[in-house]
Amino acid sequence: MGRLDRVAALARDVTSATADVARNIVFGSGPEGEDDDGVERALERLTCGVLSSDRALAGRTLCEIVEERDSAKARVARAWGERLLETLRETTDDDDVIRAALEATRACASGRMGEGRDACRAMIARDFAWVRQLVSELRGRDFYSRLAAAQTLREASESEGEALRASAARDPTAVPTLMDAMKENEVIRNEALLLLVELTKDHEELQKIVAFEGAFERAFAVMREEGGVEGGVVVQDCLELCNNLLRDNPSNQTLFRENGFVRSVPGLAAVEREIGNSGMRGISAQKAANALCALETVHLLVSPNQEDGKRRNARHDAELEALLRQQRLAGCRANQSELAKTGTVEILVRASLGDSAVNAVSVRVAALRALAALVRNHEENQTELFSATADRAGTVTEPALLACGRTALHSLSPAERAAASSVLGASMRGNPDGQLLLVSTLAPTGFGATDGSEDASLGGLLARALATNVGMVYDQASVEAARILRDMLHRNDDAKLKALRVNLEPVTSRANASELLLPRCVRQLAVTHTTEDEKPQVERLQTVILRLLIVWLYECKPAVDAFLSSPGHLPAIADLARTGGSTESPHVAALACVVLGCCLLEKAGSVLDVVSARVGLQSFFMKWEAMTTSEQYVQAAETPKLPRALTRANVAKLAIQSDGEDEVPPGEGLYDNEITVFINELEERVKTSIMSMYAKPSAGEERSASSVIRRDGEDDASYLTRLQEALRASEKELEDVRSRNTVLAEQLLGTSNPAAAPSGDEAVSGSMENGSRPASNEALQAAVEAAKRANAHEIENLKRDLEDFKRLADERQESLTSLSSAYNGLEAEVYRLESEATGLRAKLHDIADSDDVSAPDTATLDVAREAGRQEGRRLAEVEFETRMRDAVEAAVAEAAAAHEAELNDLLACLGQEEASKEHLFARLLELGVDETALEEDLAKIVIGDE
Amino acid sequence: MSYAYLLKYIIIGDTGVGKSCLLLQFTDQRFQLVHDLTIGVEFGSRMVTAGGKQVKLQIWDTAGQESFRSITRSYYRGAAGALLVYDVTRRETFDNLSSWLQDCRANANHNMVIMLVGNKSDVSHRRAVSTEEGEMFARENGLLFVETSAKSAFGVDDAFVATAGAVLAKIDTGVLDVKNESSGVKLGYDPGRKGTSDVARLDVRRAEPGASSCC
Repeated sequence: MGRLDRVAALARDVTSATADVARNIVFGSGPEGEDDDGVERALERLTCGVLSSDRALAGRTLCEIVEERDSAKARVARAWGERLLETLRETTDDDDVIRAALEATRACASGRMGEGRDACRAMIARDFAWVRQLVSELRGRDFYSRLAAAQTLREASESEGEALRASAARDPTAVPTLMDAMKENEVIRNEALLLLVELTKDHEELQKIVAFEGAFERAFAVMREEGGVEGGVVVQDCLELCNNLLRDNPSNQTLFRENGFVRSVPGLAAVEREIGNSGMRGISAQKAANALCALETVHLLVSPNQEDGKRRNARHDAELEALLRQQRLAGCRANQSELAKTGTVEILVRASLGDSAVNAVSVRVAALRALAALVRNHEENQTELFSATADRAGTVTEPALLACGRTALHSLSPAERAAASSVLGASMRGNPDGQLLLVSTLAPTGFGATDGSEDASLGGLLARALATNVGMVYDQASVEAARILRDMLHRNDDAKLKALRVNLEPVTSRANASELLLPRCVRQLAVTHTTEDEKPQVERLQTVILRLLIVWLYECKPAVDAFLSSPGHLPAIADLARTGGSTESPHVAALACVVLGCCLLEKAGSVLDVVSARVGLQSFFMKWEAMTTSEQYVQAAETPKLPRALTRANVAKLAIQSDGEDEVPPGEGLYDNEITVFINELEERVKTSIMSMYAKPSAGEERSASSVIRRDGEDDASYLTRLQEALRASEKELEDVRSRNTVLAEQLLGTSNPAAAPSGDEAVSGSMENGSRPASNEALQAAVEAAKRANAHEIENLKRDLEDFKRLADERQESLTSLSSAYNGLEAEVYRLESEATGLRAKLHDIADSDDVSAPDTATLDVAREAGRQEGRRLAEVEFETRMRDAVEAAVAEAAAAHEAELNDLLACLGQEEASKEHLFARLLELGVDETALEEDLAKIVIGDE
Repeated sequence: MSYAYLLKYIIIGDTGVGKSCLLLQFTDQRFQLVHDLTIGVEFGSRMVTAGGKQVKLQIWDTAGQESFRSITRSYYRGAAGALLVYDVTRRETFDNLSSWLQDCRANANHNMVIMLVGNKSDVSHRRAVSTEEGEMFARENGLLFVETSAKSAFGVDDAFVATAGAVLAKIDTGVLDVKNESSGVKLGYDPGRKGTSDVARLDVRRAEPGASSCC
C-alpha cells in the first residue's frame, strides 16, 4: 500500500491542490482492499502531511469516516495509535493540526457502541503517555482542542474508568489541570466535571487530591450558578462528584464540614409537593434526580456504614479497626449536629410526610431514609423529630411521627413503608424516654376509618392496626405495626412491662372484655395462606411477629411469665418451630426456635421439656443451623454497607419509578444485621443453658457429699429424716433425668428413621445435613451423653451411700434394742428386790408388833422370837447378800447405788431391832422365863412364819 | 471561629518517618502508633496564631510509599506550605531529601514555604543524622528547619506555626498573591454566619497596620 498514496500526496503538495480536490482524491482512490474507506490514507496525511491545511482536512475526513464505520476505528486502534500520539506530541505550534488530530481521536473514541470504539478507548486510557498528552492538551491555547481533549478523556472514562484512573493517578498534573478546566467556559467545565465524576469513583487517592484541589468549592459555586435544586443535569453531576468524594471517606467529610459545606446541603434537598402547571404529575424528573442526589449526600454524611468492597485488601488489626470506626462515628455525629442546625430535620419531614410530601415516591423514600440516618442515635435530632409536625388535609397539624406511622402502615409502596418504619425505629434507637412515651400511647382511640386517618396518636394507630386484624388473614398494616412495636420495646424493660398491660379492647367497648397485646400478637401467628401468592406475605408476617416476641421476651422475666401463663402459647410456638407454619418456612421455624430460646433462658425446665417433646433437641438446633447458613441470613450478617451509588444512569431510572423500590435489602427484609448479631450470641447462651440443664438439673440446690454426713449435735431421728429427704430428692432427680433420657432416646430413634429412608425435600436437606453435620450438634450430643453418664454415676454413688447408712442405722438400732432389753431386765430385778424388801419390812413390822403384844407375857415367845430373828437375820443376810451381788452385777451403777442406800437403811433398822431384841431377851430372862422354852417358842414362830 | 487566612499544607517525606503522627499530635494533641501505612488520619486542621493573626491551617497527610509518589506530586501545586519530614534515626530518609526537594521544585508553586522537619528527636541513642547536618541542608536549600518529636510533642507546634509565619510574611510583602487560588492561601470567611467574614476582615485590617509598622 501507500505508494500510490504517497505519489498522490506528493503531487498534492507540489500542486497545492484545493481542499475539494484533495477530498476527491481521498475518496476516489484506493484500489487496496485494506483501505477501501480511505481511513489509512487520511491517517497517513494527517500524521505525515506537510501543509497544515491539508493535514487539517485529512483530520476532518478521518472524522467523517470513523463516525460511519466502527471497523475504521478498530484499524486506528490497531495500527495508528502511536502515530497519532506522535503527531500530537511533536506538533507544538500548529493549532489547526493539533485540533484536527484531537478531533479525530475524539471521533474514534466516541459514537455508537462497537468493538472499534472500545478498542480506541482502551488504547487511550491504558497508555499513560496518551493520558498525559491529552491532559497537557487541556492546557492548550485553542478552545476546540481543549474541548476535544476533554471529551476524548471523558469518552474513554465511560468504558475504561479503572484504567483511566490508574493513568490519571500517575500524572501529577492531571487533577490540577482538570480542576482548572472546571473554571473554564461551561462546555469544557461540564466535560471536566463528568471526567472528575468518573475519576473519583472508588479511588480514594484521587478523591483526596480532587478535594484538596478545591472540588467542593467549585461544585457548590457551579450549583449556585446553575440554580440549585431547580437546576439542570449539571447540578446533578456536581452532586454526584461531591458524593463520590464523600462516600466512605472520613477525611474528605471532615474537610467538607470544616469548610462549611454541610450547611449548604439541606437547601439542595428541599423539595416539596408542587401543584401548578404540571398539576399533580409531580416534580420534574430532573428536579427529582437533583433531590435524590442531594438526599444521598445527606445520607452519606450521617451513615457510619462502609462502602462495599472498599479496603478489601487493607489488613487492619483490631486496634486500628476500632480507631477508624470511632473516627467514622465521631464524624457522623458531627455531621448530624451540623445538618440539624440548618433545619434538615424539618426539610426532610416536609419533603416526605403530610401534605407537603413531594409527589415522587422515590424522593420520598430517599428523604425518609436520610431522615432515619439523621436521627439515629442522636438525642437532639430525635427530640427535634419527636416535636416536628406535619400538616394533613390542609387543616390538621399533627406530630410528624404520627404521619410517619401512617405512611409506614398504609403507603402503597413497600419501599416507602419500610423507609417510614425505619424512621420510627431510628427515632427510638437509644432513646428510652421516647420508647416509653410511644408505648404509653398504645391504646385504640375508637373506631374510625381503617386507614387510621382519624387516629390522633401513633400508639392509637398501631393499636388499631394490631387489634382490627381479627380474621386470620394477612394484613399489611398489622405487620408494619408489629415491626414498629418491636422498636418501641427494643432493650427497654420499662417499655416491655408497660406493653404487657396494654389492653386492645377500646375503653368505650360495652363488653368488659380485655384483649392484651401479647396474646393478640401470638394469635396472629396462626395465620395461614390460601393461595401460593400469599405465601411470602404469611412468612413475612410470622417472622415479624416472632421477631417482636424475641425482642419482648429476651431477658424480661415478667414478659416470659406472661407469655407462658397462657397454656396454649408455648406449644403453639413449639409447633411453629417444628413445622415452620403453614408455609413450612425454615425462617419461621428457626425464629420460633429463637423465641423458645429466649423463654428457655428465663424458665428453663418446663420450656426444655416442651422443646424436647415437641421439637426435639437435635431438630431444634438444626433449625438454628439452617437459618444461620441460609443465604438471607448470611447476607444480613455482613457488616452493613452503604447503598449503591447514584449515577446518571440509575438516578434517571429511579426518578421515574412509581414504587420507589430500587434494591432488595440484604436478608430480604427477614433479617437485619442487628438480629444476626443477637442470634449468634443467643445461640451460644441457649446451648450452654440446655447443657447445664441436662448436667445439673437442680442447679439451685447444690448437693455435696457433706450434706449426707452427720452433722455435729444431730440426733438420730432428725438425721434419718434428712437422709430420707435427700433420698427422695435424688429419686425425683433421677426420675426427671430418666424421663428426659427417654425423650432423647425416642428422638434419637425417631431421627434415625428419616435419615435411613429419606424422601422428597427432606432427602436433600437430610443428606446435606449429614454431609456437613454441624460440629456443634455433635458436641451437644456428646455433652448430653456425658451429662447422662455423669448423672447416672452420681446417683449410683448416692444410692450406695444411702445403703451404707441404712445398714449402719440398722446395726445401731439392734444394739439399742439389746441395750434397752438389758435395761428392762435390770429394772424388773430392781422392782422385784424392792417388793421383797417391802415384804421383809412388813414382816419385820409384824415381828415388832407381835413382840409388843407378847413380850411382857412369855419368855418362850421372846426366845422363839429371838431364834426367829436370828434365823431371819441369817436368811435375810444370805438372801440379801446374794441378791445384792446379783443386782450389783446386773444393774447399772446408779440403780445399784440407790438400792445400796435402801439396804443400808434396812440394815440400820435391823441393827436397831437386834438391839431391842437383845434388850427384850435380857428382860425376859430377868423375869424368869425359861430360856429354852422361849427359844422353842421363838423357833415355832419363825417356823410358822416360814 | 473566624480567621484571617486559611492555609493549605502538605506533609511529605519517606514512608515511616512519622508524618501521620506529626499531624495527629498537632491536631489532636495525642500520639498514637498507627502501625499501618497512612490511613484514616489524612486530613486535619487547627487554628493557630501566627504574626498576630488567627490562621486556620488545613493539613493533608500524604502517603510516603514510592507507589504513591505521583499522587503525592499532585498536591504540590495547591499547597502554601510543605513539611518535608525525615527520621533522624534513619540516615536513608535524610539522604532521600534531595529527591523530594526536586519533586517540590518541579511541581510546586515557587512560593511554597518548605519546612524541613527532623522527626523522632526523642530517640537520641539511635540518632543517625545530627542537628547540624539538618541545619546545613536547610540552609543550603533555603528551607526552614526544626527538629521534632511527635511522641513527646516537642517542636511540633513550632514546625507548623513557624511555617505559617513565613507564609504570612510572603503575603505581607506581596510576594504571594492571596487571590490566586493555587497559592494555597484563602482569605478568611465563615459561610454559615453573616458578619463573621466582616470580623475576619476587621481582624485582617487591624492586624495589617501592625505588621506593616513592624516592617
